[in-house]
Amino acid sequence: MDNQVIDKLAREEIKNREITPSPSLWQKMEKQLNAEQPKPKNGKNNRFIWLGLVLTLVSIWFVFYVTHNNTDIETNTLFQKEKKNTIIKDHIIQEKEETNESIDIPVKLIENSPEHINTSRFISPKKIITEKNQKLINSEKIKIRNLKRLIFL
Amino acid sequence: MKIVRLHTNLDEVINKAIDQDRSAQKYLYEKYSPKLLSLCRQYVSSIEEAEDILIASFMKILKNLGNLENRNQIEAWMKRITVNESISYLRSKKNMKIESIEDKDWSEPDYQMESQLIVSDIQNMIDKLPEGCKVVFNLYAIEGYKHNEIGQLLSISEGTSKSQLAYARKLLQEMIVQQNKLEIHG
Repeated sequence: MDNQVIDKLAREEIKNREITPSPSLWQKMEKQLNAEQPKPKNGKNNRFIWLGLVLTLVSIWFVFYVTHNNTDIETNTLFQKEKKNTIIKDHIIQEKEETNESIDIPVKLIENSPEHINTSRFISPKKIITEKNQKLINSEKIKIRNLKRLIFL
Repeated sequence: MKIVRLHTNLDEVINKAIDQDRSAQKYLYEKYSPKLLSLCRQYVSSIEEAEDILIASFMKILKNLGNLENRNQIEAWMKRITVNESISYLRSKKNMKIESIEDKDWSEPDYQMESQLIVSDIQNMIDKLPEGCKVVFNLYAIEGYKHNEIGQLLSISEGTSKSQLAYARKLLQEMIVQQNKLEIHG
């Protein structure tokens, strides 16, 4: 018998054959499909979490920015005021020096400073003002530091 | 015009099935499962086992539908997956081992095919073949695979594939002759 005869018979008869599956087979498969179907990702919840996180970061940044800027503005205004006073005082001093008159500027010096004891009347006005400025700067620095602490706590 | 419409519909159905649309998946199942079940039945003797393989194959088909490049070849693609799944099943459940039987004499028996065979006869005969040569015969004679492809698929040499095919043919011819003798004598 030719080999091709049996091959051809098998090919023609079996290859075109169809067998209808039992009716319950689809239901069986559907169960598996339902079990294996990937659960939809909870996109809405994730979105809210991200949005919340971004909003928190933005608000922290905003609070920090505003408070930091305000203290800068306050400091700047104080410095400007002080600068203005200094210029005016300098101007007055200059005028007085020109007229050889003594200067009477209310001075508040640190206690125990030798200048206060001995030569308070003869201290250079410029030095006095610089010390005042330094005090002011220090107090502003403390203020800023306290604000920063408040923000980060 | 009608062919174009049908093709477009199949394309839509595939797209929906990829998006986990159950009715589209059912449509594909109903359209192709009879052919695929027949294919599974070639490799196992019981219809229950064939249905188990069909489910496993179809699950893989639906899972990988998005990777199908040429949608015109969907049936061939599905058949390839089903054949692979059938072979995996035989390997795992039946511990199928295919060994070379080259040292045997494969000379053609001197028979003439006289009787008319019907399909159920052929399937019954194939069912009676040992696992290894049954798979090789199915792949070569029915599915049209070449020996080198069978070798790759079953991890055997081309020589082993050829010898298994020859052995299957010999056994089938003997079965046919036996059946003819029975028919003639009563």
